[in-house]
Amino acid sequence: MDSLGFHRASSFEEAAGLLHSGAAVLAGGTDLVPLLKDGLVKPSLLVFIGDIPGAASISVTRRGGARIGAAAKLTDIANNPGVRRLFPALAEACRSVGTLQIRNVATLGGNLCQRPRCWYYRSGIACFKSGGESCPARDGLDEALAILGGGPCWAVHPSDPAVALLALDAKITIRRADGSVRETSLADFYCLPSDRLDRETRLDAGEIVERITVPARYAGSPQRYAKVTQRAAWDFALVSAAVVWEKRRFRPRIALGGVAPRPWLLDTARLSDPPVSRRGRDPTAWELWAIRTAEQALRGSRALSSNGYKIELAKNLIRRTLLEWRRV
Amino acid sequence: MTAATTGRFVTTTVEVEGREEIAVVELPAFEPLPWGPRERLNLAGKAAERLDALAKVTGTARYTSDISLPGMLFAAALRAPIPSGRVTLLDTTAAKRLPGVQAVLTGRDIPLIPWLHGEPLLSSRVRYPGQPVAVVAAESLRQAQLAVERIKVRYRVGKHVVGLQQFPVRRLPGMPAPPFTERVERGDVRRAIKQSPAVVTQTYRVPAVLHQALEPHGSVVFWDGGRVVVYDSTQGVYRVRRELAEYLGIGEHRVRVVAEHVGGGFGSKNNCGSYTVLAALLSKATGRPVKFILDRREVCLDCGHRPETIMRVTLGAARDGVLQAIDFEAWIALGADGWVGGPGQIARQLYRCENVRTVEHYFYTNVGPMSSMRAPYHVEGAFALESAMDLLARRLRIDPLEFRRRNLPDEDQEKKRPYVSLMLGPCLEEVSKRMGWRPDRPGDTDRRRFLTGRELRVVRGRGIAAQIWPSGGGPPAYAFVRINRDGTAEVATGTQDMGTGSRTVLAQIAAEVLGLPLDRVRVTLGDTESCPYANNSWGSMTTASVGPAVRMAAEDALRQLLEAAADLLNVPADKLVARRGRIVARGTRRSVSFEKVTEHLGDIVIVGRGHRGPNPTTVTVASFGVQGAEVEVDLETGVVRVLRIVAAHDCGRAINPELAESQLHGGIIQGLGYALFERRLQDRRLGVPLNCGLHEYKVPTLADIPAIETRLISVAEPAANHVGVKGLGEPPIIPTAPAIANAVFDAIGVQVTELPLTAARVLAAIKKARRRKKGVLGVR
Repeated sequence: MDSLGFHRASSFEEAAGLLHSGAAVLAGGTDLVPLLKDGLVKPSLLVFIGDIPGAASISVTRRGGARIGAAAKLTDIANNPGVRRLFPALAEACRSVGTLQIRNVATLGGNLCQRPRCWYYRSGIACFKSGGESCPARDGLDEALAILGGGPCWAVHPSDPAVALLALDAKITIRRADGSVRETSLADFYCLPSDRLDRETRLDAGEIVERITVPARYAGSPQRYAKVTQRAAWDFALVSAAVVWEKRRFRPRIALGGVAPRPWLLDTARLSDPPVSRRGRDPTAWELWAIRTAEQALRGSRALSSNGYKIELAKNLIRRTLLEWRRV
Repeated sequence: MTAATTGRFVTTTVEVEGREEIAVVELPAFEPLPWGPRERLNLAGKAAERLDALAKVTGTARYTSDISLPGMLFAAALRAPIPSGRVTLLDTTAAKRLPGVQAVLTGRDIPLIPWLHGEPLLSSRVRYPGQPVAVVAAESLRQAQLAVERIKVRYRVGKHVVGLQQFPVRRLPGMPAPPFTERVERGDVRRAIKQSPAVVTQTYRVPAVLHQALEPHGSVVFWDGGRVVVYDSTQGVYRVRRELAEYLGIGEHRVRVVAEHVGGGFGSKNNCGSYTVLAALLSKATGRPVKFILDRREVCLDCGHRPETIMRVTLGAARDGVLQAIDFEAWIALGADGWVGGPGQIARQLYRCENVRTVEHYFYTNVGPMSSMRAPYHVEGAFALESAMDLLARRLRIDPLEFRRRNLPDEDQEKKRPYVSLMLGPCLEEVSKRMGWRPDRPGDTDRRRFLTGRELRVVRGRGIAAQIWPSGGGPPAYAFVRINRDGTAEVATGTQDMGTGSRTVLAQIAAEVLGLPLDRVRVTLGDTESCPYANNSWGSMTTASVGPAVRMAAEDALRQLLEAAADLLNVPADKLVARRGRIVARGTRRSVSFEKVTEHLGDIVIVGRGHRGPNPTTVTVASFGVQGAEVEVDLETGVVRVLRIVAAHDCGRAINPELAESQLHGGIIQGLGYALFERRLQDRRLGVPLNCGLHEYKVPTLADIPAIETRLISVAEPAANHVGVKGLGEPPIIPTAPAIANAVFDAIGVQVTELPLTAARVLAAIKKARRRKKGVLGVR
């Protein structure tokens, strides 16, 4: 890093236009600044999007769902009455991030685009993420690594809100340098290392996340975000789970965090249906279904030398979260 | 004081952090009468606000990193990224040409200063990742860092050894010194184990952990002609002075070391750091002051650790729960260097046992040198010993607390002499009472369990652990007390206050003697130029070592003042006492205010000199403590949350009970981190640490800290020293981790034998418990 420019963008279009190679988007900076300090990214220009009018807006309606600007602060999302009422899983996911100080500056767009927390990558050891040609973690301390979708990089995606948003079937609006806009589902926004090694998203050069939209379909439906951490605060998830029930067809959408290189959406088609309608169901059948669903969810998971506990943990977490609805 | 006669200086032993050190001690010509338990004291023994509290919370207290001198340069170091090998190329030409760069020093540019195993400082032989290879001084920190990046360097990577993965190990290849082993045995351990009806053996493992003092290590040094002034974040200004003078080859009278405020040390700031020496050499080379403050990564790499240790414990007991044998073997990965203390010591001392064998194997490994860390070795040893005690208690079907009750020591079993006071029993009963401890019954109703479906989801458990720590302090320690014309007083002593509150405690002692309010006494410490010698702030020694010296100095100053007052009041000096700011003639109504006497004397200099006398030779001074933990274990996630810690510790007279309790809080929180989160991660293949920052190295957050109930068993110990105090700085960290681990054992019925108690390990233990249908988890 020899010199570092700074530009205050006044629109997403302008920001996208500046995102040539060597430029980085700055919003809250809670991930970018540590990356800069550790020398893991070496941009020549920082494009600040925090001043763009409307970039931090949050609007929520029962009919229209939620529209959240990329630069909205996690604290503001977690405390927004509409989000809390209609999308409690998202509110809970935002509240579970880092510390209050971090949430007060961290933004949703930045959180979705943050880089992995893999010990090796963050220590500046050459690996796929830093342009190297091997994964030192795979042969080293692997207890934090992925049990699903891993390889050749096994670093897990660290975001909490992404897991909730995935279960809520959120869309991402992306602005391009030429001013055009494309929209993609969150499920398509993220990719696996087998698709693309250097990044975790399908954002191309000259593209910037402008807005996140949560469809009205799940507004006010039963939903939950549960996160297991070693420390009671300021910790990334060992495993997290978002469970969102559809209103009409009684079947949950389940997403997991901390288990894969991307927020992991379970294929609902592969899960069995709950035993009966919500009214008057049989507790034993319900419990068996929850256990079966947890088993199905982790089918295909693979443990490395010391991350096998995550399989058990994820199963338990899914089962527990599903069982909570017996009391709803 | 009378003039010195023969026999004034004697050679004696002093116990420092479990090590015996030989020291020459000055016998006091007079020693004040001890403050006994019934002594009526006004200030010593009562809570008082820290004298520097306001300065610290408002930011006016200046720490080393706040020091800014005119013309000051900033230093940065090039550190080896490899665990082992050799520097094959080191070219600083490009770095030297950068703007702002004033000096670049490599091993070739500095005098030969023996550092690791006689290898010189800035050696081209690399023994650990983070070892300094070259240093730069520049006009700004940024310029210095840029210059470091421009230094051309190449390494030939050598073989390395990380930790104790190859356990059990006989020797580690390629290490500079052969591994060494310490054996201590009393009785006949083999026979005792053979004859014991109940025997348990278990292997315990603890990770390397870091001190993580809030203030990073660093110095500001100005080598000005013949004089070197050092502002240093240190636990020992006099030790740094001695070591630095030796390294630089100059007289101690040319070196001044200052540490007015220190933001924590925990043992990692006990010696003169390489940063101090290098800042001095850079200052000499440039003729300007040099500031060299390490960043968090450098602190994690090169400022010491508590070593990774594996311990195998075998305990044997009779059916009635009386310990018959303790067999304790430990393997300790020191790092590139370190000192030998021993986790076995606590196994030899804490419980009564005739047959004890401790064997400790030490190894050098390719990671930064080990350093003391708050109750070094005892913390590790206590985890193994106290975990094994609970295992044996379960084997015997005796309540763990009752089991300990049956094995309390009655004397110092190593030195075969009594303790000045043996408070382990009272501490145990206090914790028992506060926790409402009743002998273990399975399915105890006060232990709530939560269900998911028909299965247990969350279980609770409770555990206890005990501690012993040598805490008598000792000589040498000196203090001056000066009484000013306006009736204020100043204490000067070469100790430090690294956040423990010693500044306040020493002021309380002096004010007590002088009968002055606390705000008329000021304490100067942490300065080799204005303060007489005192030892490092280590070994829980400060109050018990420096306290008596300050008291004696204050008594000496007061005696001089009373002599003057005697003339003024026309009363013999021995009839006068100082009380509440007045000099009072005993048995009369005559008194005169303190400042009236001092004003009368004008500029007459009254300086009292005090020093710490020798320790008692027929008794052992030790602090005891017991902690109880209540935990909640989530059976589905393996996450442990501590709900409550109850701590009872013994410290003699607590000069300031509030500060003493804050030591308990600090130790317990640090111990909780050791139990649940903290560990240095190091890749075995690459040999490099992976969590050199406070994000990945997890210290407890506020949300992790449970309700902490502290109880000081505070009884003055006049036989220990004439202030009646014992040390308390380190003891509270010792029992926390085993108490928590024992509570987890109680909750899930299986021991997790390795710290920290991560979700992965706890889940594995729960699985094991379910398979074996052991304890509460086997029962549906």
